[in-house]
Amino acid sequence: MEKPTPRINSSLLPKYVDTTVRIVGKVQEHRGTSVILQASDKKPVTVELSPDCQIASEYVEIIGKVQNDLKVSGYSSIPLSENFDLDAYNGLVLASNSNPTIFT
Amino acid sequence: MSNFQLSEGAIHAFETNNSAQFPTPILQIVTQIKEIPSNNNSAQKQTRYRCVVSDGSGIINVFFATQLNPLIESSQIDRFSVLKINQYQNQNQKPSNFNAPSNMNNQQQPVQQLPKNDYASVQKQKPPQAQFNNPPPKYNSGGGFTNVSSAPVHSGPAPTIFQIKNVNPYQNKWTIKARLTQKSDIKTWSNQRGTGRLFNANFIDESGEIRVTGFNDQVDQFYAMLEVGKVYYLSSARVNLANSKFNKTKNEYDAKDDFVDVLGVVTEVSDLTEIRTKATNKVLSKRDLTIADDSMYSIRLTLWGADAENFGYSDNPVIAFQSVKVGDYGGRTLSMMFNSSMLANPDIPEAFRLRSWYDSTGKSASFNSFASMAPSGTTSQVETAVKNIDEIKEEALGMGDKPDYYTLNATVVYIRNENMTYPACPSENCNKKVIQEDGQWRCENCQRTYPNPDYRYIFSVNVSDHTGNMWVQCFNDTGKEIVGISANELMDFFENDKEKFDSILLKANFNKFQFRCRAKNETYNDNTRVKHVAVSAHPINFVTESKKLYNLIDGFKKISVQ
Repeated sequence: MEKPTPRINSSLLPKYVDTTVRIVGKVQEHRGTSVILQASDKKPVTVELSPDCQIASEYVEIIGKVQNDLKVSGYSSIPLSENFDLDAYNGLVLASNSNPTIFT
Repeated sequence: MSNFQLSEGAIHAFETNNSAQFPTPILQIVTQIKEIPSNNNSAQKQTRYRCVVSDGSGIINVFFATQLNPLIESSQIDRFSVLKINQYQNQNQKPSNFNAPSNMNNQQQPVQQLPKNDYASVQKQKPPQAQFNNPPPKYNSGGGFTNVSSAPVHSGPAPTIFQIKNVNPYQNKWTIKARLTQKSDIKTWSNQRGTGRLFNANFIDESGEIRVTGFNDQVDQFYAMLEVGKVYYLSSARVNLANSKFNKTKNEYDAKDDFVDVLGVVTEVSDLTEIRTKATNKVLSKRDLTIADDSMYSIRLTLWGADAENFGYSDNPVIAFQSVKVGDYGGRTLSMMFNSSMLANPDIPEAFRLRSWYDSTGKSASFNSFASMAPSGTTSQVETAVKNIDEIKEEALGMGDKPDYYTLNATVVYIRNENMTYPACPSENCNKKVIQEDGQWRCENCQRTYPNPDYRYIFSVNVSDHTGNMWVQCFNDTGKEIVGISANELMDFFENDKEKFDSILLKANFNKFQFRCRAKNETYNDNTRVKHVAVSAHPINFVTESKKLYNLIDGFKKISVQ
């Protein structure tokens, strides 16, 4: 908790390997113990679920670590409301990543 | 070149009773010297003369002492003469009546004449300090326009070419080489000082833009010679400070961003219509064009007068428009103004690109129109500027003569919960306050009584954003939006369920709204204060507002990279 968790999208995954991040997406497909989300940049991201990280809503925020294979190992999840606007959130992702001094 | 300097500030000193600061002011006559019409009631024996003089920043009426009449009658002093005034009398009464000699403003005694200056008139872009009256000027012999493209013949040494931005009222031996971008129609004027003709022409070089006015004889001499798009030498003109009322040419001090240059394909041409202007009651012809480009947007552009009448293109020309005004009438529209110009099918690469784009794909495309940008709904009007509270205070919105409108995104932090409502007449469109009378409610306006009033909201809320907080007054519709229930329902709780009343108001706090407000100052007991009234209030649409914020951040990023 003491470290900042950057908000990212699918395209930014390679930049954050081995880092704990937050990623918001829309649930696309359940695949056993993992789930494919459509991230805020409309691209897919695979999240590996755990007992502490289950999906209970269409839009969800995942806190997890980006692995070498660019899958996210989920630590925790937060359900979001149904009318979540991914475009607006992607604006926040881009703005926070281009102004890292404010967000770290 | 004369080496005098006008006593700038002298006229202000006269008007503020500080004329002692300028015992011998140097002033220039800027109008024709006029004979004062004789007054039958007074025993005027001698003709008296008056004129208007300038000190470079202001003008004032001057009445000449009669012993100066010979100087005037022999034309030793005339319009544009620069005078050193050795003795004068300052009379403070406002000249309400020129005919009465007791209302004279200044009286001049012996005059020493400085070298006389004849130069033609050029209006130089400067903030409008002086209100010159655009007097008909005289050209020096040899001055005027020379068409560069027709191989100019110069017998003397080559002229020094000034850049337009360097033209100033203090140097008059200059020549500019500039392209004519616009030529007005020949206009006639008529006022107390007579009638005449004039035309305006705008010239541009790589440094800037200048407006040139030609009067009377110059109309015959130069008007036909000047062709838009050609390059001319121009010299020996008198440089005037621009009068913003007549001159809207762009310049560094007054670069209004609501004038734009635009290149587009004409996709629609409306029929010629006529409107009667409100201000002057003149009939004006107008024609609307729709222009579009490969941004896939189209916009309406209005032509006026001769431009509208003579518009003869029907084959979707590409037209370059210069300095057209951006208006917000019905979304976003463009309008040709005084100083706008247009050129059909210009010989530039962008025009060719647009031409081929239109002929291949653009023709069949459907365009986004700015007309649809106007927000729909009952209370929505033209989009007003979004301000934060600090800006509202800093810009002193509402302190002017006219009310200011703005949009504010803010959070309700406190609702003044005393007398939040008033009992109103329930009949439609009356809304007047009703008075309780024997268990009935009487409306003086409708002259009848009702069993129950219709309560309406009138209260103030304190709203806050990240820059500060302020009071905003709410009436019934905005009040309902903020409280969440009607005033009748709230009054019911107020009378029967105080706890519920309190909890409703408590819950109404800390909600975010987009307010559209009107700010206007009011004077009450000698105290002037600005009253901000919420015309409408809507819950903030977080999706669109975050987009706007993101665009702001994105724009800032682009600026900071440069």
